[in-house]
Formats: sequence, structure tokens, C-alpha cells
Amino acid sequence: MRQTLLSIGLAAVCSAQLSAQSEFTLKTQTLTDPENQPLAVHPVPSERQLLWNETEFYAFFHYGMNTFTNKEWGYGDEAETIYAPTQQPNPKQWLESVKAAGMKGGIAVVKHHDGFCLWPTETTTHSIKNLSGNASYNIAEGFANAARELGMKYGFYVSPWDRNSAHYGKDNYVTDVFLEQCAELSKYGDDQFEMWFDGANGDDGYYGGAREVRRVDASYYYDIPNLRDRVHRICKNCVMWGVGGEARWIGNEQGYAGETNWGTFDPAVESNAIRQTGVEGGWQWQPGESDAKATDAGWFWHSGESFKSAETLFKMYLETVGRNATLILNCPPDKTGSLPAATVNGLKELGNLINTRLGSDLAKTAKIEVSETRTSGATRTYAAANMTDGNKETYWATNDGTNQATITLTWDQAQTVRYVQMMENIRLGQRIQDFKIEYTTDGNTWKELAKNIQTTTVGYKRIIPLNGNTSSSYGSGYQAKGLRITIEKSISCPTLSNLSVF
Amino acid sequence: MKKYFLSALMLMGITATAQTSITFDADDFESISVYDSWEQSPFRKGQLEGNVKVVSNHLNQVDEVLGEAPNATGKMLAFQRSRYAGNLYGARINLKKPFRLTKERKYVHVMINKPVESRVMVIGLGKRTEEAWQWQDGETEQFMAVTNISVAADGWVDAVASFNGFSYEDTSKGGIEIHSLVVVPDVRSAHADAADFACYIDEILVDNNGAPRFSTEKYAVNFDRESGKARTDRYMTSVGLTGGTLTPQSAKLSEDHNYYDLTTTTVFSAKAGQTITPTYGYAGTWMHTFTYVDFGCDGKFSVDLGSDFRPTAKSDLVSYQFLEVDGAKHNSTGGTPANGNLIGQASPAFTLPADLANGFYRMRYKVDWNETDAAGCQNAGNTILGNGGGIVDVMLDVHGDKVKVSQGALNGEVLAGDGAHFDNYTTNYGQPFKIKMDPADGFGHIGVRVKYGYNVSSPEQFDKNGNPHYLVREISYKLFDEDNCYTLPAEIMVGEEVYIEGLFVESKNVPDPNAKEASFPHVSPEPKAGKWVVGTKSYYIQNGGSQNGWMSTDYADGGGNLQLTNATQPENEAGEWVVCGNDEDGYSFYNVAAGATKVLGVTGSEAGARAKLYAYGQEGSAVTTFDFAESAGGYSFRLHGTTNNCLNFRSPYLALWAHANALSSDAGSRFTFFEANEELGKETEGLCMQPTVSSTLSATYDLQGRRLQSPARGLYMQDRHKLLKK
Repeated sequence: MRQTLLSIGLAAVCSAQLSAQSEFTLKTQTLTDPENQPLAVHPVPSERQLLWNETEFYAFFHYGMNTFTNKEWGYGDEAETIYAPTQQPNPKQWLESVKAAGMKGGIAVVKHHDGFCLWPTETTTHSIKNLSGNASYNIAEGFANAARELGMKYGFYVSPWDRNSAHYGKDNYVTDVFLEQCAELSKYGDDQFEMWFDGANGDDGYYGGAREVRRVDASYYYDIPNLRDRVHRICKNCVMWGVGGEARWIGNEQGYAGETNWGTFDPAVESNAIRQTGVEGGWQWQPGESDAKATDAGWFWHSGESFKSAETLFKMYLETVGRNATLILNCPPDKTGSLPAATVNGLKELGNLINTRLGSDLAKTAKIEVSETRTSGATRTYAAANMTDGNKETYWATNDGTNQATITLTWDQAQTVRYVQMMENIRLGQRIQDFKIEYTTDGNTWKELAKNIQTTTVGYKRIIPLNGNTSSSYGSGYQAKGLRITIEKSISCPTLSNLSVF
Repeated sequence: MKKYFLSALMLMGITATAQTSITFDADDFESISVYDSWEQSPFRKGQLEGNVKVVSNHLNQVDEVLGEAPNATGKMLAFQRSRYAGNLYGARINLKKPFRLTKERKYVHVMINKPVESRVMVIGLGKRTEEAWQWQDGETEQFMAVTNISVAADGWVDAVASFNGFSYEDTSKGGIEIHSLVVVPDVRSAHADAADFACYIDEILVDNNGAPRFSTEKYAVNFDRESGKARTDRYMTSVGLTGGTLTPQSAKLSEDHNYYDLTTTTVFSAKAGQTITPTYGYAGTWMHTFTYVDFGCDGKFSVDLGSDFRPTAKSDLVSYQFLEVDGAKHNSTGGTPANGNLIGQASPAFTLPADLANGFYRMRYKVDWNETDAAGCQNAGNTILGNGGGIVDVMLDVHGDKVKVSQGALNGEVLAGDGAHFDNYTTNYGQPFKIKMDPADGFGHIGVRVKYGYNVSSPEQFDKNGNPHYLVREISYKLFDEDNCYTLPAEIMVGEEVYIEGLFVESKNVPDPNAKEASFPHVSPEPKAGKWVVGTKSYYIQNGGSQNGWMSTDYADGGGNLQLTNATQPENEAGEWVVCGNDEDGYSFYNVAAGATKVLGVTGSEAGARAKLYAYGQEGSAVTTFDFAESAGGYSFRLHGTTNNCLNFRSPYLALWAHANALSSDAGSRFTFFEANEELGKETEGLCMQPTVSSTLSATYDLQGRRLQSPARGLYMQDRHKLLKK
């Protein structure tokens, strides 16, 4: 049990100016921790951010008016009847298909910049509400129900910018339209995991017939603090992405994060380069999400588009999920309201690839030795075995003051190794700043691997292709009787809840 | 509360609109407590109780820089910053009267005094007022306003941060009300703090003025001075002056920072009463120039504009292109610019006071948007750095017609070019001036050190504001002609006096002027006739930090190929190495045990390469010369003339790796030197110790101009630049 006492003699650590004549005295404070857990390195994720991070890999479904106009950004003056699915939209098929790729959830676009709503909203007539047949299908409701049925997470994309609405740019748009729309969508389930707010804000548009340019100052216009409050009141675990301030855009749409990537950030940063790496020591927890396309055309479906190769998408996976970011991969349904066959097949292939390459964990059969193990608490231990027990709540850690460590895995027989995966216990903050990986064929001589990669941060999850190449990471692998991970630098005592070798 | 630095708005009677003011001296707050944004905080869960109270102000001493007490109030708020809290933990002040958020940015000022330097935040807690929002409890974090830069420790500072929020045009519809303010004194994580600390908070004010109410920082800058260039598409490229006494007068910037302190390298010249024009080079558009001169030499740039928006006689802001107040646009000549796209146009000229005393004055060039604060705009969303602005400080020399020239030296004398002695000698200001070195018998020279400016005989180079009394320039013997003459450039012949220190040394110690530059810090003179010469030093060389091993001829295979095994540091000559050479021809390695007649060479490629010792003349195709680069506290060595084909540890051999990372970050390419034998060579007839001029003229000096051997942490001068050694 660790008890930490704070001595009143702390006055000595204050400057002479502060200590001599003050009538204010520091109070001795004791915080009993029977489990001897390390002090958190702040900022730390909230409970909803932790749950969000665990989603890791999920889908984006851009479907709506633009599917039928062949545009990426609709002007907002499209007649509702242009939206005409040739079959009843099938969000269950969308989610089943992406599940086969290993995705754990999806976000459906239910209102894009054109303002057309895919649920029967009370806030505008520019929606499915007065349509019939396949077009009247409530995408938001159907999507939420399908996700629950399949045991997947779900959320919605609602464009703050509304080029159709006459109210956009005026005071009442936010209160009478946008906030109401978010509240309506919240009612489709209190188990939503993310609400996506596009950063595109203001420009020309229909605006109820005005046909002009309208711009807003996003620093206040959408009243994000109260929007968050209102949504969280219903959807406790719904992370407000982007403008919402609980997860940040990774800074590109090509499907990669920085090799160094911190979950901490400074919201005042305007640089996309820094979005890719986060800010070490930033004051706010805002992990990165990478949005990228699985097809080679736009975000919405376009005739003639192709689905990217499984190897290309696996590279994206390694460079996002494998670099402490989540990946939201866009798979647009076509005019039938379903995912095209090529997409379905491509997703299956990607799933097989991920499963093949990252499915069989060799760490479970290794003997693992660590340079130090944190002293156990009353019921909690910090043994090396915690890294391979499959329990996200347990973790290995060193003692306070030990910021470097080695972890050595050995096998009696040489194993073909290609990837090393590590996960910090980010509940206590992100810590690891630098590490290296070595292997041995004979148990005596060690050689460093992946030297061309910045083996710096770990965070929620880091996957290192041992040949240092994400484009062709599989290769022939390395015959290893041992792997050694040396944590060379850490903000505080390092923690790892998972260590896997594939 | 006194105000030392006031924006133009304040001085023109456009008073700041104070919405909230908490002094703690009056009954101007409802209650106090603590608040932690961290949901799992022990202060939220009731495990710990916060410590905060209103106390008498014992920190009311006079500040020696300000000349008065920055905070002489009777009461202040004391708060215990706990190491068990989150990083957004602070003192909570519940307001007597809530205030509404507006779309327009407001500024919250907090006087704060704490023992750690870090950024400060103010969190506004509140709720929306409309009927539909009555379910809110007033605990919603409506804004988190954080200072742009760290707030200094151990003294009162006026921390300023901006915020805004949604509001209706018609405020009767409702809006967002702030009921409580939380002052977070330190947004860092406290996990590594050894103890809690006390901080003091006072005079909280919300208004529409972003400039600090006072500042003790000399020539303040509202961003990190060391920060790299904020934008690659917009940045300052040069500054200059026209209409002064010298032509040209300009300084090109390195274009890699946001702040440039050129006060020890750049002096622009003008005379009292002259009309001069600041010039700016800038990559980008839609910005404005603001130019300041610290006429009062008080460590700050004051702004004082008249009712016509022209600078008054009290103003240090002397020239600006654009200032918009209540929709009306102004510049420093009383003009009305049409729009704000002015950076490509000339800045307004200004006239120096006719009675301005001669001397160096600090001059600031600032590119910013619509902001007279010399430290730079702080408005969130419109910051000086966010807009690609920047600041450059130089010295302005207001001068007379003549400059006194004097000299001092041992073992020789510095003369005028015509041979005249410097006895009460004066010459024309700002004109090139020829000098001649006259060493005593048996002596030569390695150059001169020149001090130029004011008070050149003072041991203190810098005044209390950090401005130089004089500048220092070192001139290498290499620049002198065969008659030992050199012409000092016009830019040195400024100030009131130029003092020249001749650097005379024994003839035998005068370097060969044709000697090639050798910048590797551990270089020794070349062996002569197979023997080490005076000045030769040997080193133990370790590879890859503690992981790989040491270079030693004791670690070699049967063919003599060097291996780097994970062994302990050698203690014999087999592990001692000497490096000779120069930057142009490359450097070579010699082994003490093997003697000065053998040299390290490497043959083969990449992992198959092998390094071993070769006798002179028997190197064959082996490469024996290397170029070096610094590498994370050590050095990398690449084959001479190659880009990145580096000596590298390819277990167990010393081999090669041709890769960009081999040069920059790879541990296997990193060689660290440890002193072994400080003096291997003996005096040999005809040979002598060769002190390199670069080692003399790259010496480190403190700010008083005293040379230092092993400077500790602090601010120093080296190669005419200020150097912060951390």
C-alpha cells in the first residue's frame, strides 16, 4: 500500500518571496492508494474517450443526395425527389460488410452540406419526410437498429454547414435547426459512440433561395460547449469529433498518422502537420482520427470507381490504427442503397489479410522477462503476464522513478516474426517517448529492427512492422529466438496493457 | 491598480469595458472553492479537500524593474495547487453577478504569483438562459481560455487569455451566462512534482483589452522567442532603414524564426532630427508594419497616440501602417488607408526628435495585424504568429559626425593604416577605416577583437535592459593583407568610439594562414616523420552509447578487422585513438598502440565492409579519410565526399551503412569521444603547437565580455551571437 504524505515543510520549495510572511499554509494531504497504481500523467482520456479509442477501426458511409447527383458537395437546391434509391437502403448490409473487414462500427452520413436529411426531421422539409417508397426509409433509425443487432458501434455525421437552410449564418440556425437535429438523432439510441462534425463551414449556397455566400465564425457559432452538454445528456458515451473537441482530425485524408503521435493536443494549433503528431505535453486529451477513402473516387459513390487493394488498405491500417490513431474508412453505398459487390469483396479480403497477419499472437507462447516489475498492491499486480492475458484492465508497469526498461521475449524454437504491437494503459496517460526493438537468432547477439522508423510513441496502440516498411510489411519475416523491446525514454514509469508479436 | 503599458485605445479615452472585476478587497464575489476538470479527480470524489482562502497580501513589495509595487492591494486569493489533481485544477470563484458571453472576444486578466513557470488558464462555468435549457446546472465548461505563453514564476504577472461564445443579436432572446470562473495556475501535469505549491491570485478583470495591464519582462514578446517559424507561406525576410546616414542599411533574416534578436549584430544609423523610413521584407500579403524606438531606454515600447492617431512625443511607436478603431482606419501620418493589404507598400516615415541624445536605442520591427501592442496580437484566431507575423529587434545609433579610435594590446600595437598612433584619434563616422598591425620583435598576430559603440571601456557590455553598450567583432588574421593591414568596414565605425584589441602571439604560434579549417573538436596535428607532435591528444571511442562497444585493436578478428564488442572501456593504448585532418580533405584515425605510421581504412560495402589498420602506402583501395557530423551528443563519420555512407556497427564489425538515418539518428553510427591521453607528442625541432584560430575566435564570453573556459548554464556570447546554454 502506498501512502504519500505531503510535508508542511513544503514552504521550502516555494520561493523566499512567497514563504516568509504568508498567512496561508499548505495543508498536509494524504491520498491512500492500496493498489499502488502510478499517478496519472495528465491530461488523461475521459471514460467516453477510452471507449471511443477501443473502437479503433470503423466505417464511414457517405450516402445521400450526392449519390444521385454525382457531386461531392451539393449546392442545397436539389429537389427532394432526386434522392431516389432503386431499392430499399440496407444499412445492415453496410455494417455486415465492414464487420467482415474487422471494423467494429460505422458512422452514417445523415446530413451533408447540401442539407438533405435522411431521417424525418421536424426542422426542415428538405428531408425524406414527404417522400415515398424506398426514399422514405429512415436511414438514421435503420442504421442504429442494424448496428445494435450486429453488436457494432454506430454514430452519425451531421454537417454543421447547411447550404439549403435559409437560417444558416443567422442566430436561430444553431438553436432552431442544428441543435434540434442533433437532439433528434440522439433519440435513435443513447448508445452512439461518435458524432462527426465536418470542419467545412460556410461559403456559397442555396440558403432558402438567397443563393449567396455566408460565412460563420466557428469559434462561437455552433455553441459547441452546450451542444456537447445536450448530446451527452442523452448519449453519455458519444464522442463529439472535430469541431466537437473530443477527438481531433489527424490532419490529412490520405490515411496516415505521424509515426510519433500523441493523444495530447493544444486546440489552438492550426497546423495540419502538428495534427498528425499531436503535442507532447499538450493540455487537452484529443486523440487523432484518420478519415480516408477505401475507393479511388470521392467520398460519395461515383460510377466507375474502384475499391483499393487489400495491401493498400492494410498499409493505411498500419499507419493509423498502428500509430495511435483510429481509422474511419469510407465505403460509399451506391444508388441501390447497398454497398457494391466490389466493396463487399474487397472488405472481406482486407479482413482476411488483417486476420492472417495480425491474428496469431506469438507473445502468448513466449517466455517474457522484464527488467523491473512494479510492487504489487493489495489486489493488483503489475507482472509481465498482464501484457498477454487479454485483459485490458491489467497492465505491466515499473516502479516510480524507473522510466526505462527492457522486455525480453524468448522462444525455445525460432519463430517467424513480422510485427510487434504494444498498448499503453492510457487511462493513466500516455508516457512512452522512445523505444527500440531487437531480435536474436542465437540468443546472444542482438540486432536492431525497423531502424528507419521513428520508434518513439506508443499510446493506445502501436504496431511496428519489423522490416520497417508499411507498404510491403509482410515479407519473409525474421527467424527470432528472442525479441527485446527497450523502452529508452518515458515521461513517467511506463505501463503496457498489451504486448503482441505476430 | 496602476497601468504601465496602455494600448492606444486606453490612452484615447476609449475605456475598456469592464464586465467583471474581482479584487478580493471588497465584497465582490459570492464564494470560493476549488474545481478540477478531471472527472476522476480526488477533489471531485471527496477523497481530498481543496485549500483556498482570501488572505492579506504580503506580496506588495516594490518591483525593482517597475519601480513600484505591481500589487499593493490589501487582500488576495491563496490557493494550494495539488499534485494529486488533474492538470486543469484551480481556484473557483463564484460570481455575485453572472455575465453574458459575446461573439466578440473578451479578455480575462488575472494577476498571479506562483513559483513555477507555466501557462495559466481560466475556465468559465455557466449555462444557457433560455427556457429550453433550464435543465442545465451552471456547471458546463463554457470556455477554456489559456495564455499563449508561459507565465513567469516568482513575481506578479498579469496573465491574459481571450474567450468568446455564442450570443444572439437580440440579447433579449437569451444567451450564455457565466456564473463561475476557475483560475488554473498551472496547466502542466503535476505527476512529477515533488510537492504542492501555493499560488496567489488577485485583481481578476474581464474586459475588451488584450494587452497586459503591466509587464516586467523587458521588450516583451507574446510568444515563445525561441519558436521556429510558424508558417511556411507567410514570414518576415528582412528589415532595413532608408534616409539614415549609411547606405545601404538592411539585415536579411534567416527566415526560420518568429523573433529575431539582432541587437548584437545589427546597428542602423541616423542623426537626431533626420526623417527616416523603416523597410520590411515579407513573404505574404494582408499584414501591417509597426515600428518602435525605445527613446526612454526603459525596457519597453510605449504607445501614445493623439486624437488624430499620430504618435505623440511620448510614443515609442513611431510608424504604423494600419489601425482600425470603431470602423475608422488610420496610419501614423494621420492618413486613412483604404484597406488592410498594406505590407507590400512603404511604411510611413518618421522624424527623430531634434534633441535626441546620441546613443544606441533599441528599435523594433513588427509585422502584425491591426495591433499596436509591441509584443504582438494575442487575439485567439488572429494571433501574430497565426497570421504569419514576426518581430525583429535591432539597435538604432543616433550619432555625431566623428568616432574616436583607440587600441590596446600586449606585445605589439595597432596603428592607423598610415602608421599613425591612436592618441586622441578620431575619424569620420560610418566610413571604412584602415588599420595596421605592428607586432613586437618575436611576435606575430592572430587578428583583432573590436569593440564599437558606447562605453567601450566598460566591463559590462549590456545595460540593465539587455541592450548592448557596444558590439564586439573578431577579425581573423586571415583577412589581413601581406602588409598586415585590414580595412574595418563602415558598419563597425559607429557609435562614439571604436576600441581595437590586437591579438599578438609568439611568432612560432602564429598559425599557417594557408592552414585548412579543422572544425572537428577533437582533432590533433598530423604526425610528422612517423611520430606524434606536440598538441596530439588521444581518445577512447565508444559506439552506440552503452550498447555496442569500443574501438580497440584488441577487438579484431584474425584478419585484423575491427570488431565492436559489448566490452568495457579499454584501459590500454589499443583502445586509444588520434584523429587528424581537416574539413576539406577529411579526417583519419590513428591508433596509439599501432603507432603513427598506420591509419584506419575501410573496404567493402555496407554490412560486408571491414575497417582495419593499414600501414602508410599499403592502403590499397581502402578509404582512409572521413567527414564528420554531430550526432545526438556524439559524431558520425562518413566516407569522405559521400552523403551518408557512414561507419556503422554491423555486429560484430565496424562496417558501413549508407542511409539517411545512418547520418542523423542511428545509434550504430554514433561515436562518442572520451579523453585518454592529453599530450602524446613531444617538442620536435622545426615543429610547433598549432593553435587553431577558430578555437580562439569561437571562444565563449559572458555578457561582460569576459572569456570563459567552461561556461555553465546561462546566456553567453559566441561568434558574435548570444547563446543560451541550457
